[in-house]
Amino acid sequence: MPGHFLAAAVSTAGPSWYWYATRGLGVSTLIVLTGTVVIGIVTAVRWSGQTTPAFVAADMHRNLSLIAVLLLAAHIVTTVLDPFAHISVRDVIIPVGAAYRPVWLGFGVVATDILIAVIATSLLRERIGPRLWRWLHWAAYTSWPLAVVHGLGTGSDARAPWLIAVVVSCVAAVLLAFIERIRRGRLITLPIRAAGGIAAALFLFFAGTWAISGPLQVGWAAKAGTPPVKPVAVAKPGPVHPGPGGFSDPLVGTMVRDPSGNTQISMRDTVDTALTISIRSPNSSETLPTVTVNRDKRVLCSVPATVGATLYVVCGATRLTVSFSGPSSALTSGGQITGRLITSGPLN
Amino acid sequence: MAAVLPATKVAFRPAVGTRLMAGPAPTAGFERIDDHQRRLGARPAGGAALIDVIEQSGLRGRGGAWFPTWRKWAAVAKSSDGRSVVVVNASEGEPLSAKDRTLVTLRPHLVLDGAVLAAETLGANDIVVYLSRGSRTTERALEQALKERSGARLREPPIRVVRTAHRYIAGESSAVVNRGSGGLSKPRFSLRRSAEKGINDQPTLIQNAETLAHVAMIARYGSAWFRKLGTEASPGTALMTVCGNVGRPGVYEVDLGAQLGGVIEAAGGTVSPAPGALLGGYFGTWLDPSWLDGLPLDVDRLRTTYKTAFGCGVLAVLPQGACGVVEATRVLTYLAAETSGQCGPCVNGLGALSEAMERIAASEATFTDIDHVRRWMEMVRGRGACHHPDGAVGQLASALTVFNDHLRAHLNGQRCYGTAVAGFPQPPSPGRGWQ
Amino acid sequence: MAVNDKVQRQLRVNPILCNGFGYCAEIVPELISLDDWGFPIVSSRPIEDDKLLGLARRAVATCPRLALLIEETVPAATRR
Repeated sequence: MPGHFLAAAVSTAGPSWYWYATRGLGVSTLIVLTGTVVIGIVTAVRWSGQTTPAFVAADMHRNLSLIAVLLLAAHIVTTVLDPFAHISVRDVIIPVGAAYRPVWLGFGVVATDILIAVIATSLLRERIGPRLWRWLHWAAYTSWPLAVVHGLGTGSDARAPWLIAVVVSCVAAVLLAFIERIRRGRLITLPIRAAGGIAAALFLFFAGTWAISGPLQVGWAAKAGTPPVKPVAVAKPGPVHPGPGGFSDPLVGTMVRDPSGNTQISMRDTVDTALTISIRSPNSSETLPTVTVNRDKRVLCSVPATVGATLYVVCGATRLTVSFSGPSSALTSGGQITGRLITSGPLN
Repeated sequence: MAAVLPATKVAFRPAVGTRLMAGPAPTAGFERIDDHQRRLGARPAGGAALIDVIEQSGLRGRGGAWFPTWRKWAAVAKSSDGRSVVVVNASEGEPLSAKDRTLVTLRPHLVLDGAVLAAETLGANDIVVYLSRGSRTTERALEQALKERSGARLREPPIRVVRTAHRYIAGESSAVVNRGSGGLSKPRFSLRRSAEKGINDQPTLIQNAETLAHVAMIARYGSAWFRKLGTEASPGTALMTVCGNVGRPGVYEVDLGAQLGGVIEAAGGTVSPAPGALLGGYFGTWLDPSWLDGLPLDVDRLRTTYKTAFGCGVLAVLPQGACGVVEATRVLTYLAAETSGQCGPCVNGLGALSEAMERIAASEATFTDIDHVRRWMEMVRGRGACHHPDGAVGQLASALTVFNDHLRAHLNGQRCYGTAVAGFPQPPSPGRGWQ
Repeated sequence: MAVNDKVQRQLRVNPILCNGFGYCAEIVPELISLDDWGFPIVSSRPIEDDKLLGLARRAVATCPRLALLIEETVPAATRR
C-alpha cells in the first residue's frame, strides 16, 4: 500500500502526512458545515438582502453542503489511510469499538451518517415526497453538534489557540442563527421551538463543561482512549550473513602452544563478531584436531577437522575452511594470529 | 331602498312536485324497508344500461355543482377495473341547508337504493355513506335502515358509514376522499380527479344523497317519466330549503320548471316585504328583490340570464330592514373562519377581505377598503386547493352588485338600519375538529 | 427534452404545500408573480420555449417545500 511505503520512506520518528491532512480536513469540514447550517437557517427565517434575491441563499446552502461532503470524504479517506491511529474502514461504518478514541470517533461516524442521509434524500427529493424529506432534513440539526464534539474529542489540536478560536466562532455563529430561528413562528410551533431552545442550552452547558474539563486539559489523549504507541523495539539486527550463500571473513585470535606440543587456537570472525572458532590439537586418543564453532554462547558444532594446508570442517550442512595467515612467528610459537574463514553456507 | 313585492299577484306554475317526498307524511319518521318496497317495488338491478337511462333522463347532480350525473358515472366506469368506491355525500356542511338530512332521515332506503344501483353499475365493492355528526336523528335513522337492509339479505355490497366533523368544507370532494381514506376532513391537492383516484387511491364516485334518490326512482320509472317535470336543461324535481322571511320555512320538493315566486308562495309567502334573498347557500348568490317572483329555476337560464345558480337549493329570504351588505359580511366572516387553514391565498385573502368588509359593514370604511376588497376578490379566486375561496368570493361579489346602493351608503359613512335583524338565520359559530 | 413534443406543459403550484418563500417568483418571473401575502400567482399559459422550461424546472427544484410541479398533458387526439 502506498501509505505504508510512504510511511516507511519518511522518518519513522513521527506521524505521517496523512495524520496532518486529516486534521486539517476535519477542521475545514467543520467550518464549511457551520456555514451550511447558518445559511440554511437564514433561508428558513426568510431573510433576504436588499440586492440579493432570496433563492441565492437557498442555492448557496445546497452548494456549501456538497463542498462539506467532499471535505468530509477526504477527511475520512485520509484517516483510514493513516497508519498512526489504526482506524480502519470498519470504524468508519460502525460507531462503536474503534481502537482510537472510540466514543468521540463514534460521534463523528453518527454525524456523517446523518449528513449522508440528509444529502441523499435531498438529491432524491422528488421521489420521497415533501413530508418525509422535511422530517429528515430537521435531523441535520443534530449532526452539527455531534461534529463539534467529535472534533474536540478526537482531534489532537484541542488545546491549540487557533482551534479554540475556530470552534468558538463556529459555535457562536450557529447559536446566533439558531436563536433567530426559534424566535419566530406561529403559536402552534411554540412547544417545538421552546424544546429546541432548551436542547441548545443543555448542549452548550454540557458540551462546554466537558470541553473545558476534558479535551482542553492536559492528559486528554490518554483519557480519550488513544492506544499506547508500542515502543519501537531496538531492532534485533538481523543476521550478518543471512545466506543462502556462503561467506569469507577474516579471523583474529590467539594461538597457544604448550611445552608438550599441544596447540589451542581461539579466533573470532571480525565481520560476524558473534562467531568464534576454537581449535584443539588431538589428545592421546584422537588423531585429528577438534574444531568448535560457537555463536555467542551457543555451540554450533564441535567436530574433527581434516588437516591440510587449511583445516576442513563440516558443520551441520555447511562446509568450512579455516586458514591461518600469520604472523609466522606466532604460528610457530604462539601469540596473536590472523586467519580466514570460508564457508559454503550460513552459520546461524 | 328595500324593494317591495308588487301588489298584484302573478299566477305561478305549481311549484311543488311530489316524488321523493311522496309516501308517508314527514311526521311518520323514517320509512321502513317493507313499506318502501311495497310502495315503490323492489330495487331494480343496476348495470351498464343504467348509465344510458340516466343520460337520457338529463339528471344533474343536486349537491350544488349541477354536473350531469351520467358523465360522472362514465368517468368512474372508465377508470374502474372492478374496484371502485361509491360515496353517498350526506355531510351537508351548509348551515342553511336541511334537505339531505331530511331525505336521509325520512327516506333512507331511497338513497341507499340509488347507492347500490351506482355500485352495481360501476362495479364498486365499497359503498360509503359520508355523514356529519351534526344530527343524531339522521344518524339513528341511517343505522336502523342499514340494519334493516342487512337483515333483509338483499345481496348488496357492504355499506359503511364514515362520520365527519360538521364543518363547511368537509363536503368538498377531496376532503371526502381524505376522510374516507382515514384522514382528516381537509381538502387535498391532486392533479387527478376523484373519479380517477379517490378513496384508497381507487376510482371514486362522490354523489349527493338527493341525486342518488332520484336515480333510485329513474331506475324504476324511466327517463321519460323523470322528464315529465322540470325543463329541458333541468328536468325533474329538486329539494329546496326555504328559510328566513317566509311563513312556513322548511324543506320543499319543487318542480324545476316553476318559478321562484311559486316556491315562496308554497312556503307561505314572505312575512314582510323582502329586500332580497340568498339563493344556493353560503356559496350562492344574492338575488335582487325584483327577481323573487319570476326567477326561473332552470340551471342554464339562471346562469346565462341572471348570473346566478341554484346551488344546493337553499333560499334564504331577507326580512324587511335587513341589510344585504351586513348579512353578506357575516357569511364571509363565517367562511373565513371555516377554511382548513392549508392554503396561503385563502387563509390570508378571506381574512383580509373579512376585516375590510367588517369595517365597510359598520360604515367605518377607510379610503382604500373597497378598492382592496375588489382587488383581493380577484386575487383569491381559483388559488386554493379547493373551491372554498371561490364560493366565498362569489357570494360577496354578488352582494356588492345587488346591494350596490347599500354599499355606497356604507362607504359614505351612513349608518345602516340593518345591523341586527331578527328573522334571518345567522351563521353558526365555526366548528371544531376535523374528524 | 425539446419543447416540440405534442406534450403541453404547465406550471402548477400545490397551495397546501406552498409556504410563500417566493424563490419561484425570483427565478421565473415570466410565469410567477407574488400576491399581497407573498404567495405565488402562477400563470396558466403553456410553457413554449426551452429557456422558459429550464427556468421553470429550476424553480421547481429550488422550492423548499417541493410545492411546484410541471404538469404535462397530452392533448386528446379525439374528443368524445
